[in-house]
Amino acid sequence: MTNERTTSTERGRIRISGFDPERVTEREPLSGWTEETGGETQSRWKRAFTRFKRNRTALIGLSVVGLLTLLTVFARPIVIMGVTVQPFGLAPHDPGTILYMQDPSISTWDAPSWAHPMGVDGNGRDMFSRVLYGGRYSISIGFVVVALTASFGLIYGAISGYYGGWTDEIMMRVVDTIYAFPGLILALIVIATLGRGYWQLVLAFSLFGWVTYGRLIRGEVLKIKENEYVLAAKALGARDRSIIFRHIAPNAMPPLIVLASLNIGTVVIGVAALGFLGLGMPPGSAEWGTMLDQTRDTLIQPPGGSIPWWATVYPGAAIFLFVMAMNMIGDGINDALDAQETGVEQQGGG
Amino acid sequence: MSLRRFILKRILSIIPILFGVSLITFALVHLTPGDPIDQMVGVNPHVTASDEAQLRDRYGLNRPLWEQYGVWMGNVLTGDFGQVYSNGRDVSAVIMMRLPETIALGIFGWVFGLAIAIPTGIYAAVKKGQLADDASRFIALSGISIPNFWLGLMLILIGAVTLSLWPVLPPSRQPLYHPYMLWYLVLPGITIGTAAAASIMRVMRTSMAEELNKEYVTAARAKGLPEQTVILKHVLRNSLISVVTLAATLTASIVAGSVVVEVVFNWPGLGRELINAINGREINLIMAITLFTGVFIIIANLIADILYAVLDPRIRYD
Amino acid sequence: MVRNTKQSRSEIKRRRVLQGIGAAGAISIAGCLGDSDGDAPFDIQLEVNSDNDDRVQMVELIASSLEESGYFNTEIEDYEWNDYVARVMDPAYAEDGFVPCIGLSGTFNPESFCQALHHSENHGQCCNLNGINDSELDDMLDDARYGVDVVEDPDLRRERYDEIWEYLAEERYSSITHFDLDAAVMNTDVHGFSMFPFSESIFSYGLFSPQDEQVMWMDEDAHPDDTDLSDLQEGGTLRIGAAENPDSFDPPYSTDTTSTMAQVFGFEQLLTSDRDGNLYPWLAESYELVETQDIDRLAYEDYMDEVDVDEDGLPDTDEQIIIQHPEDDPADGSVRVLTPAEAADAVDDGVFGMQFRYEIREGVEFHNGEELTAEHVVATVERYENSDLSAQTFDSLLHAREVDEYTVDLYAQVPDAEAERELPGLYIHSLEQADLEGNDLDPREGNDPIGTGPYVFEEISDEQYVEYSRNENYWVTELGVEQIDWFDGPSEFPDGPVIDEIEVEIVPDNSTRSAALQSDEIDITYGLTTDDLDGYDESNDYVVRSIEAGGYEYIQYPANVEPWDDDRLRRAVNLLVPRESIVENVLNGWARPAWTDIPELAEENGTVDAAALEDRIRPYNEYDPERAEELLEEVIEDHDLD
Repeated sequence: MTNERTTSTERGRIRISGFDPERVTEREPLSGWTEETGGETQSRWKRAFTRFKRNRTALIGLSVVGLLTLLTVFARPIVIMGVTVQPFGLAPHDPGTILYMQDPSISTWDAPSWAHPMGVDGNGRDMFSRVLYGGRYSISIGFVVVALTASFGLIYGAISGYYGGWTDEIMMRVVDTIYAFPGLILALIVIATLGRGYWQLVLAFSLFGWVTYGRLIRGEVLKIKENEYVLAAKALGARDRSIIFRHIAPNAMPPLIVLASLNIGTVVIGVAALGFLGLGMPPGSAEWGTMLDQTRDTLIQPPGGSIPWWATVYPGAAIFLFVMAMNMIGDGINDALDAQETGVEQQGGG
Repeated sequence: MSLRRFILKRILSIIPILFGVSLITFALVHLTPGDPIDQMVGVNPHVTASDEAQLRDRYGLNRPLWEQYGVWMGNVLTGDFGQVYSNGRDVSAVIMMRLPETIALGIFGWVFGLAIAIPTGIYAAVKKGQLADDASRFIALSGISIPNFWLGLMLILIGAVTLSLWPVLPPSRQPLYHPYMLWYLVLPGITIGTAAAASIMRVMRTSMAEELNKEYVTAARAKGLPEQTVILKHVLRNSLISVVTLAATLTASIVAGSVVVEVVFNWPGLGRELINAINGREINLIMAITLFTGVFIIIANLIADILYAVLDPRIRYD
Repeated sequence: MVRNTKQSRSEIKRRRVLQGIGAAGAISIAGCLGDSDGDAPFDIQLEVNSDNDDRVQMVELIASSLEESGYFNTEIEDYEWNDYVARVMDPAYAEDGFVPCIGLSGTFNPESFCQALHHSENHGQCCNLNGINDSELDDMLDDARYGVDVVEDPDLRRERYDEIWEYLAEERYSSITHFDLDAAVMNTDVHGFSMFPFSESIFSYGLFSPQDEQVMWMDEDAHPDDTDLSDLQEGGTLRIGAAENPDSFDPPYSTDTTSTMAQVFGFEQLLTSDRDGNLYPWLAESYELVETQDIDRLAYEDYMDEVDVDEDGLPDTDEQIIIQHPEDDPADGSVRVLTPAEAADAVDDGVFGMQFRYEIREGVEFHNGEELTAEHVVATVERYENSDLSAQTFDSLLHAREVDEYTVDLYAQVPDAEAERELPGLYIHSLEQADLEGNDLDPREGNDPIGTGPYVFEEISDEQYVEYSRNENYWVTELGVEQIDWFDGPSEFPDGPVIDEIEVEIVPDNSTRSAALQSDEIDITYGLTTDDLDGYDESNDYVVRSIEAGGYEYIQYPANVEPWDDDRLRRAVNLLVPRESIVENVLNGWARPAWTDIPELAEENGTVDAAALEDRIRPYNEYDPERAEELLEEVIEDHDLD
């Protein structure tokens, strides 16, 4: 690819010739992704899929994420407006059940056993059920936020990049401004203003989370819109909207998907971090970070006390496992689509 | 364009962003409909009716929002961030007191991150495709995936409680540069630096790998230069430039990480202050810390860009 | 000790309670993407502040118990503390029909366990949250404290409180669940420590309190179990782990316990109290009740001024309002009020409820060298005017008057059985600081606190530590403890505290404080989680001292809202509050179930016979699902519910 094209995506920033760190990647020589083949989306996706299938790490990640998601969906029955949508209950107990109320032989902080594979927490609740169920919060928030932010970012970036000029200038200034804040801090303030809760968390991470996508897509669009087929479409009098959505957006998808897959992990960590700070879900809910907040005191025991490690290790490990698997998938998609190294470094901080 | 003109232009370019940052800070607090004084301050037990009246007066709360923003901005520009309700102290004094602590922690995180990441990144790039490379990739991925606060808890558990190598409490009476203090900072430093280290390592590895494929390397090798010289003298220098770019992005992640890490390690910095401010509904403090964070990161980005321009002679200026 | 009682008691009863609950099906609790079945006759929404884990856990347990009965659908809503307080203190809250849970801290005054919760005048304030408005109860509460009869006859007062407890057991507007045990944990270097029921004073009390022959010292070479007063050692540093930052060093401008804790190393009052609530002259050498007059607040009518009210219905004046005319309605636009100058006029004319005279000790020196005189007391009272503590000061106090250099009179508004304790509850200021603006008496404002107390403030690093050193010119040391007329302790009892330095390390996190204790960074701390206390108690390297404190928790029923206006429903819910299980499972035994509404520390003034009272009232408060079911069936029948 040529330098001019690469560098022009970095509007208003430094232009570099001969080298661009953000574009560096171990590019296999066979990689088909050049502007000449950009139109052949179909074959490209197919090729990527084949390559992804060969990536063992990514497949492991995919199965872990799939398994965790299934487990959490089937953890407890789901009832929506009185109709049982999902009747199964893999988790032996309701995450809120205080076990000692029914069975006096159970006490708080019971160690893992056959009956309670992850032990009992400080309120006398079954940890296994809670960890399984807890994924509902983290995982669903992760996916919902990413879906919202990626869609909005896609539109925002596409408009900004396509129209250019003053529109672009102003829209990108907005992005630059939001970029000046770490996402976690913005989320903290949003929760502080709106209060805790599921949809508040979604909003807290969505409200500003789209900027990464916006900036990325804009860069891609700038690249694509100089392509012959876009110019041709324009010359043939196609409307802006159809150019953006039929030609530009699909071609900007690969980096978007990579970023989205990596971003889910970031959001999940962020949700857990807010939970840990007491600004996520209400206390007592089985959200992973909130569970860690409540068991934090137990790490330091009085003399002779033994740490109920299960209370800290399992929820923490669940977050880690999910995020790790998600990142493995992201890396895999990245390699498969041969998009640039994106995203994973962006936020973090949980 | 000369370097000097580039720098000047770059500095001027942050003015609208600074303006935007203040706008966002203000807007966030006014996120919910209604009077923010009722929303947030109204439930702070330390805020008396006269405080409230004063606040309404100060921000002109019956006036349109943009006018209120103007009043607030005017105060901020004269260095007046208002007071902490619970004790009546100046918000700016509180920030000045907490700032050095957070900076010390951030620097430690940075030092740790770079010290681990650069050698590992080089090693991984040189051994590309081998077991060591796979292992380092895996570790880097873990570093990104592990929640900061959980890592911090685990480090306290192992380093301070089980092994007793570290004190659990920050040594409060020592100046920040005291060796005892520096020793204490190791655990929070590791915690905060891990995610950064993992990211830097990945970038280091890829950019090194890219450099190693360049013609000048082949040429140097062909000339018979020892591999070590090639890597350390030529490749490394060029790859490091990309790390500088990453630096700015990671400053944001370190600032965000400091919130959680300061809470875990009981470190009296700005992050812990922000959480306290949120729990205590100290609206002035929340706005000031948020604004401060934004400005800090903008300046960090600016410095990184300038540094980058100075370091890399291949750069053309816009 | 309290601790042992707890162990022997709880073992047997826990089992019984849990059997009582029996096996049951699934329960659901709000906050878990609920799958409530919604077919029970009563809906109940419990509310709680989210930042108190134990309280949340307790409410979850109560909710579980209610669900299990099959009669209730429960929801739990939780709020951040400040939001929660604003919410439940809002007078309109009483109409919402929710059941809030909150904790209060009571005193030796039995009133603090009934009046605060139930008197209609506390609606919208702390802490009649659900607007209990029972004029019969109001009168009973007033008559137990005010009036010549109860002032002169403590037994009559105790009888009146007994009537209140029984009345409350029938009406059951609120359920007090348990009384807190406060525990301090220390390493074995700390010798001679024992607890005081109010956490803000445990250290100042522990360091030196001749009224209980209490003194602390540091000794690294022996175990506290093996030492007594004869092994006392001078010197050393006590490192205290405090749970919060002291927000203020200004006594009348702080309400939190940590600030008070930080202040009382240096500030003292005219009287002091022992662990059982008996009063002893302290900065006053002696005191007496000079006169009691049988008047009520209307007697001040002639002295009152009419002032306009502002939009919030508050009198629009800069003066301290000592009494607002009880019959005036702010809605009329103005009210009659008594201000300090007019209170002085009333006293001049001999209009007052009670007159106490204090003879001040000569030679008491402030940290800045001033000598304590009557003028200091009067100046202090003035500084309490319109302060954060003015409401609780001037609910009883009418006026302070200097009689001569070392004699001061304090006047109460009406005959008040608590006046003896409450009137002199002021931290005496130096004249140098008596004119400071509110909140300015603070080292962070450049004013190091100056009092007469045994420790002198040295240094503070905000949110990190506070340091004090021993007052070399402490008046007890100068005087000699033997010279205090009521002191009858052993001759080896020292003439003042013996520990040289105090360092208060501020460590908000419970577990971090626990760790700091184990890594020998602090010597003593408090407020650890109940999970941890047993471990420390069993260890030889640490000592736990506990006492039943004034703290208690309660839920309050919305008696103004149907169907909660039916006392049978309230009593039934109360019978389903598993007090035993709360104490045992949530608080690990570090509390005492509230079988009556009155804890040990208020028994002296609050009941004729505590054991007999418990026998009578306990059946109302025992966990009893069968009796609850009977009551609930009655309610359902009468209200045509199903």
